[in-house]
Formats: sequence, structure tokens, C-alpha cells
Amino acid sequence: MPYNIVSQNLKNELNMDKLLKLNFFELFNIEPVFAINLEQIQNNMRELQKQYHPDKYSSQATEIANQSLMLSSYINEAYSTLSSPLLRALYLLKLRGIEIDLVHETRFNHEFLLEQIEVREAIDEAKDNQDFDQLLTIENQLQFKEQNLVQQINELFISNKLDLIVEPIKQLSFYVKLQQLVAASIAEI
Amino acid sequence: MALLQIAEPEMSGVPHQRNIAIGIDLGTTNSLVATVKSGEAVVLSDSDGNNLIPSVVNYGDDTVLVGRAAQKLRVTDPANTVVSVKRFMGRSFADLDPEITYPYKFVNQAGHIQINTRQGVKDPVQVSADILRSLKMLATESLGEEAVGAVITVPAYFDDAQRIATKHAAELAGLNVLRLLNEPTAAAIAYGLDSKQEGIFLVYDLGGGTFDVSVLRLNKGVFEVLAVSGDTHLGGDDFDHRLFCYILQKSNLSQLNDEDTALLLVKSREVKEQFSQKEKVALNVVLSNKKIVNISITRSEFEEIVHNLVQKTMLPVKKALRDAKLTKDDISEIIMVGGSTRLLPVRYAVRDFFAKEPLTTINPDEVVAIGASIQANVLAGNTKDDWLLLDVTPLSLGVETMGGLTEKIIPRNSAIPVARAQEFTTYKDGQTAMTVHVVQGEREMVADCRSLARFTLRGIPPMVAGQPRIRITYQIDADGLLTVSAKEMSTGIISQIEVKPSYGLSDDEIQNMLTESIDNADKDMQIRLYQEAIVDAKALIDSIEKAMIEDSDLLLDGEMDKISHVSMQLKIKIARIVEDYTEATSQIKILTNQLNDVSNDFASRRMNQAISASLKGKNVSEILTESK
Repeated sequence: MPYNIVSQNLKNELNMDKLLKLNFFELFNIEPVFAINLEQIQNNMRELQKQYHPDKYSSQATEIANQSLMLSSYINEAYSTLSSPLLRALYLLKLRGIEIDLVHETRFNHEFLLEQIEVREAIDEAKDNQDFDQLLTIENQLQFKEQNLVQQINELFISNKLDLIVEPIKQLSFYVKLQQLVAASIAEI
Repeated sequence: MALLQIAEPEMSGVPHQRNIAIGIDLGTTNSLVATVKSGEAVVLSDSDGNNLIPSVVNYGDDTVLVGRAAQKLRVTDPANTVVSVKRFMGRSFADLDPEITYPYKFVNQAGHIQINTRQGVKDPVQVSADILRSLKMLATESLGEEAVGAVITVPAYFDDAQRIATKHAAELAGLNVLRLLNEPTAAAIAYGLDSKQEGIFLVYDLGGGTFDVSVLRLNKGVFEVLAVSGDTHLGGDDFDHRLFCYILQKSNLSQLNDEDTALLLVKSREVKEQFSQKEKVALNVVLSNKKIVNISITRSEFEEIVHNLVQKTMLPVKKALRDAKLTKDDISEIIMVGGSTRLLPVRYAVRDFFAKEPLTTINPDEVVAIGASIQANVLAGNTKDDWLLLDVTPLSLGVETMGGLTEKIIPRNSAIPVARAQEFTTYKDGQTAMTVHVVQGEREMVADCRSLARFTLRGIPPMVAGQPRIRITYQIDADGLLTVSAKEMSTGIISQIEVKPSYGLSDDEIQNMLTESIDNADKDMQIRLYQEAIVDAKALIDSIEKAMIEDSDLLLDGEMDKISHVSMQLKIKIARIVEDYTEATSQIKILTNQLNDVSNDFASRRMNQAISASLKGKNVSEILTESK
């Protein structure tokens, strides 16, 4: 019996090692494309967690418990990356050897910047008024704009016009940041 | 061992393979312990049949009382009777609600709250450990053996400091912590696994001191926490306090002494609880200065007093729905948890918001402990049930950057376990060290967040500013506890340190408390064994002395002297003041055995005589009937 337990542990450990080396798409066993089925990755995430969550190894040796902590964290990271259009786009480009430096990309047209400033002011005002519903309205508007950009990005991925993809991704990152600002404001009121 | 005594057969348990695991709901007002017995979760009760143990500890001259016994002293000895200690766990003075007056002598020790009692300064961790120890004892007595591990619940909104403090308390109480589990999640487990229903649950948990909202999805055996929200300063105690203020106002009272304050707070709670059945509640109290408070309050008055508090709970509900990207129509069931959800204004507000009756079939006081015991049973490996719990972290974790700003590394509501890394660099040429300040909270300024830890990374190779790449990794484990590590990446020279933030109490302090409590437990055990030995010895002496008077004719020559001699030695030993309990116990046991030996023949002669006398002229069936 002890022999079986050891070999099972070893098998799990080796398997976990292998999974930790996969990229997020491989880990979830899906095609590396931008248009993904969210429900499918949700299901795959659950199935993977069912096997490798630390709770399944809580009574076992430290090494394998640590390994499962790492893998379980990796599965969560993969899920949150793939389920966010911005992070998924950036990750896909990175797999194709394209890195976009969002921090230092600051060239925007005048109109876009003006809109950014307006939205920020609206968020601040709603926050100061403790107006939860107003914040939700702003968030909905931002989500609508995000949807349009996601559509564009998807089409560019499909037609493989990656030279044109940087601009909408940059804009998307700004809308994501604004939504984070809304979320932080909601958490604060 | 004593004369003519037949021991009852020991009630021994059936041999089993199971690892007994317990779930503990360590509440602000009450605590409970539950376990899974033959597939069914049950709440354990003490010898008086109570399963709701008040989270109250009284420090007497040389006693530590927990629960009802301590509760009774709350009014007469408020300074040494700690209630709602959960509110102080992992907290500093700045966190205390200035509106609430406490009867304790607080000590400001290294920024965190401690209480000066008759038995010296007590850390909230120690007070909680006393409660947990008593729950552990209750479980051991009820189950006949010690549990291998425990799942302890915490409010979902507890930050890292509060979670660590809770874990320390459990360790101090000698519990093996299998998992810290969020209270609303525990409640959802209790309901979800009970009904075998799939869908989205919203847990509305209004306890004594905290309010939590969680949104969970149960799908294909996986419990996924989608969002948590809440208010750490809102609970049943606040309802009591509102009512208390109203009573003062209505009866023109001001400036009460500690004793009367405690008394009226207890009464306020009683009044509040009665509104679940009554339309009108009368209050009649005599204060220490003989002044009589005699008023009555109607339900509509009560509803008005608490209206704002009830409305205050709806904002976290809305926030949680928003975080989960859901609307209220997506919620399949609303689960009510915590004693305060018995209040009708609370139930009505929830029902009206969702346009749906909330679930209350499982006792709202017990549901968390039940869920915790189910999770404990799974973690102890007792079940083949293939379900899993995926939780989230309630608060964002970040690091301080230039200008006192917070850079978030792990946003709130991230699924745990989670590991995130971020790279930072130096801002001065030749800079060789860097301070990493770990903070928790949603605010942009570091000053507005909770500081968790500060450490310095040294040995960065001197380079031009902006060249070094320092990678800081945050890892949150399945308990929701954080580990931070930092690495210098650019040169391949890796200097790495690992920080487990610890709050208020250092590892040494914990170790000392642990040793102290083990010493005490050891001494308690020695005293108990000694007292048991004395009881046995006295029983033997009494029965022999009685027998020697009753049946002196059965004594042989010199036998009485022999017995009396040993008996006298034993009496002297019992009367002696004890320094070493272990030593005294063994001496008493030796003499008790000697006394048993020298009186043995006499005892059997008595027994023979008794039997032959009782059998004379009787048939067997008569004897059997008599002996019943």
C-alpha cells in the first residue's frame, strides 16, 4: 500500500510540473485565439481546480501541497487572464512575440484625451456625492465602449492585421483603467 | 476498588477509522462548535444542553470563566468580563469606534489593543483562545475524543491582520487549524449541499458585530465565491446601542456608571429580541442608585430607530451584486445568517429588495458552524464527496510607491489561491536597498490603507537608477493569508526574502503564550488528578469506618489497628498542604491501595455474610428481583 501512495504522489507531482510549464491556452486545452468561449474556460477552470486545489492535498507532504498551491494559483491566473479581453489580447500578442508597452504609449488624439478627462471628472463627482447608481451608469457606458473596441480587436485578430491592433488595445486599456477607477470608487463609498 | 462496589461497564466507543473534525463558528456574541456524525452535521451542546456559547470571558481571582458563567458576571464585574472580543482582533486603537464606551482598562501595547484584567494584561488573541479552548473541551467531552482538526470561520471582510490573529488564537488553544473559512461561505455550504440545488446564492450575514454579503455560484460540485462585500462596523450590537440611546433619551437619563451601562445594554438586547414576537415591549429596570426605568416601546418606534441601520446593509448588497456582474434577478436564493436576521425589519427589507422570500430554514445561529463542520469533514478526508470550494480575497493588496500612493498588486475579489508579481526599480543611481511597504485596502493613498508589513530588500547591485529589476511577489494561500517575497532579477544575483506579516504579536510572544497555556493546562490536569485521588481515598475511608462500626464482630484480632493505622496515615496525607501535585497524587494512591489491601479480608468476610444473610429462606427469583 505505501508503495502505491508514493507512486501516486509522484505521478501527481510530475503531472503538476508539466502543467505549470504550459501556457494558459494549453492549460485550458483551447485554441490560442482571441474569440473564446467563456463558458468553456469556466468549466475547464472548475475541472482543473477540482483536481489540483490545495484542499485536495491538505493532508499530504509539504512538497506536493506547495506544488498544488502554485498550480492552483496558476490556474486562477490563467482564468483571470483569459476571461479579460484586454489581458487576453496582450497575452496572445506576447505568445506571438509582440510586447506592447502600455505605460509608455502616450500618443493619443485630442478627442480621446478630452473624453478621458470628462469621464474621470464624472467619476469623481459621483464618488463625492456618494452616488452609487450614477457610478453604475458610468460603468455601463464604459462597458459599452469596451464592447465596441473588443469587436474591433477581434476582427483585427481574425484578419491578422496585427500592425493595426495596437491602437484599439491602447484605448481598451484606458477604458479598463476607468472601470477600475469606478470599482475603487464604489468600494470606497 | 472501594468496598462492595461494582463498576459500571465503560461506555467505550466503537472502533472507527474516521478522523473527527470540528467546525467552529467563533462569533462576536456567541460561538458554536459542530461536527459531522454519520454523514449528518450536528451542533454539539454542553452538559446543560446549550449549544450557543456566549463569547464572553471573565477573569476572576484564579478562575477563567467562559460562556454563560462569564455572562452572568458581565453586569457585576464589567471590567474583567470581556465581551465581543472579536471586534478587537488584529485591531489598533485607531480602529475603535469612538461612539462606543467600553468598561475595560485598555492598554496601548505596540499599537494594538490589549485589556488589563485582574489576571494581568490580556491580548484579544488570548481571550479568543480561552473561548476556543472551552469549545474544544466541549467537543472533546461530547465526542469522547479529541478532534484531529478544526475549521474556524471568520467574517468574509476580515483583513489579513484579523485572520492571522484568529489563527494565532486557535493555535494557542491547541487546535489544529485545517482552514479559516469565510462565514457566509460556510452558510452557503450548509444550504447548498443540503438542498443539492445549483444556482447563485446571496448570503446576507448580519451578526453581532459585523455585516457580510457574499455571492456564490454552485455549479457541478464547485462552490465559487463571486464577490464579497460588507461592513466591519455594523451588527446586532449597533441595534442594541441605538435602542440603548433611545431608552436613555426617553427616560431622561445621562451619565450612567459602568454597571448600569452594562445592565441597560443587556436589557436593550432583550427588548430588541422581543420585537420578533411582540408589538410592544415594556422595560422595567432598577438602576444602582435605586432609580427606576419604566418605559414601553412599540414595534413601529423600534423600526424607526433602526431604519438607518437596516438601510445601511443594502449598499454592500448592491456592491456585491455589481462586483459579481449580476443583477438581483440573477439570485436564485437569499440565505439569512446571524442572529440579527431574526429581526423583522431586517427580513422585510431584504424581502422587499429582492422581491423574494429569503431562506431561513436552517437556524441562522447554527448555519455557519454547520457549514464549517461539513468543510472540516471534507478536509479531514472523511468523505468521498467530490465538491470543492473556491474563495476570493475580500480586500485589495498593494505596495507603497513614490509619493505615498498605493499600487495594487492583487485586486479584491480575486480567486484564491493567487500569486501575482510586479516589477519595480530604483530611483537613485547606486541605490542598493529598497523598502517594501505592504498595504491592504481600496484607497489610493497609503495612509488610508491598512499597513501590513514593511521590509527592506538589501544587496541590490549598485546600478544607474531605473536599471535594477526588483520583482515583488504576493502569494495568498487558500486560507486567505499572505506571503510576500522580493527578488532582484537584472543581474542574476538573486537576493530573496520572505515576509509573513504578523501583527501586534511577534512569533516570540505567541510562543510564550503557548508555553504558558501548556504549563497551565498541565497544572490544571495535575490538580484534577489529585482531586480525583482524594475523592477516591475519602470514599474508601468512609466506607471502611462505617463497616468497622457496623460489623465490628467480623474483625480479627489486631486487624482493626492495622486498618486504622493506614487509614490515619492517609488522612494526614490528605490534610497536608500540597506543593507538588504529581507527587502528592501518587502518595495518596499508594496509601489508598495499602488501605484497600489491609481491609480486603475484612471486606470479603462482610460480603460473604451479607450474601448468605440475604439468601436465607429465599428463592433465586426473589433475590434477582431485590437486586434490581
